[in-house]
Amino acid sequence: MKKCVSEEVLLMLAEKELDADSACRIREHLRSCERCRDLFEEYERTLTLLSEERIDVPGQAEWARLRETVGERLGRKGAARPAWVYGVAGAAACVLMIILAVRPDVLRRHERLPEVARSEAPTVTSGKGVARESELTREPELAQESEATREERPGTVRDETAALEETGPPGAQVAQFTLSLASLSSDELSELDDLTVVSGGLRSSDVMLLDLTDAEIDELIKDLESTPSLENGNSQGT
Amino acid sequence: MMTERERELLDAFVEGNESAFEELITESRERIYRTVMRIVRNHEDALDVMQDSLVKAFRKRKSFRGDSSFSTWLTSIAVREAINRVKRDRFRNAISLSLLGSRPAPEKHNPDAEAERSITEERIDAAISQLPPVQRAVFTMKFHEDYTLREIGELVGSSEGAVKASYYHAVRKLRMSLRDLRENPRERK
Repeated sequence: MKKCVSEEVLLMLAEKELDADSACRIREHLRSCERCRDLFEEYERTLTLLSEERIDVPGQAEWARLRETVGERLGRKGAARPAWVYGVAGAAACVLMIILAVRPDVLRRHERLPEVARSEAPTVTSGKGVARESELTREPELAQESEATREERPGTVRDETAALEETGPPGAQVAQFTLSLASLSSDELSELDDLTVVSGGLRSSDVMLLDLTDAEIDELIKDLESTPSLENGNSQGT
Repeated sequence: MMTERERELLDAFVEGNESAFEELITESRERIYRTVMRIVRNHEDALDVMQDSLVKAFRKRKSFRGDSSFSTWLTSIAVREAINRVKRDRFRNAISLSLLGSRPAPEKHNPDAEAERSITEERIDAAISQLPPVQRAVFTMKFHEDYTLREIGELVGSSEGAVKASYYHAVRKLRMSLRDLRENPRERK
C-alpha cells in the first residue's frame, strides 16, 4: 500500500512551498487518497480563515504619545547631572573600595548567572510540587529536595525551567544549572534572554520546552497543589 | 544595499541621537507592531511592549553591529519582549487565580470593540491565544509577516528546524481548534 503523506508536507503543499515535482506527486496521491485529500482541504480552509484576521495599527496620535513616553523614559535615564553629583559619586566609590579592600565579603552581588540560579532563584520543579519562597505558595517555607525527586516522572511536564549550558572552548568543562523562570520579572526575563543569546548557551530545544500551553500550566499547578505539606519534608514522587 | 542616508542615521543612532532613532523606527514600526499585537493579543499590551522594546533598543544601541538590518534587530528585541510578556502574564495569572480557586474569563480591554467582532474573529483570536507564546510568535512571523524560517530562527534564538516544527505544530493546533468553524460557514458574519 502506498504510504500516505505527512501532515507537515500537506501543509507545505497548501502554502505552495513544495517544488513543482513534489507538488505534482502529492497532488497525484490526493486524487486517490480520501484521508490525505480531506486533511489537505482542512489545512487550506484553515489558512484561508486565518488570513482574514486584520490588525489595526495605531494612528498618528498614538505613535506620537508612544514617542513621547519613550523619550521621557530615555530622558530620565540620560538627563544631564550637575557636576557636584559626580564628586559625591567619586567619593562614595573611594569609600566602597576601601571597604572592599578591608572586608571583601561585605557585598555579595550575584552578577553571574550560575550563582543567581543556584542560590537565590526559587525553584519550581514539575511533579515534585515543592516550591521554595515563590509566588506559588506565597509562604516562606523552605523545601528540601532529595536526590530522588530530581528525577522526572515519566510524562511529567517540563515546567518553566531553563536548562542552560555555559558554552566554552572545546574540551572545557561545562557548567549545567537550572533556573526557574516563574519568579522573574519581565525585565529579568529580558536580561536572561540577552545573556543566553550572547553566550549562545540556550539551545533551541530548550526554547521550545519553555513553551507551556494552558493545559500544561494547569497540570503544573495541580501538581503543586497536591503536594503534601513542606513542614515534614515529604515530597511527592519519591 | 544600505543607502548613505541609512548609514548616517545608523551611525547617529549608535552615538545616541534620538532623532535618528525615531527616523529609523518610522519605517518598520507598523510591521513590528502587528507582529507584537498578534503575539500579545491586545492593544494596550502591544503598546507597552513596543514602548519597552524601543527603550531597550536605544539603551542597547552599542550592541547593534550591523550584522542584520536595523529593522530585523529591532524586531528581534520586540518579539522577545512580547514572548516574555505573554509567558510571565500567563503563568502568574494562572497561579494567582488557582490560589483563589477560579479561572479567569478572557480579558476584554475594550468591550465596545469586542461587541463588533464577528464570531469568526473571536474564534480565531481564541484559537491563537491558546498557542504557547513561542509558537504564537513563530506562526505570526511566518504566516502573517512572511519571515523565512531562518530569519525567525535568528529572531527567537532557535534553529531553523525547531522553528519549522514549531510552525507546523501551531498550524496543526489551529486546524483542530477551528475545525467546526470551517464546517459551519453560517456562523461566520
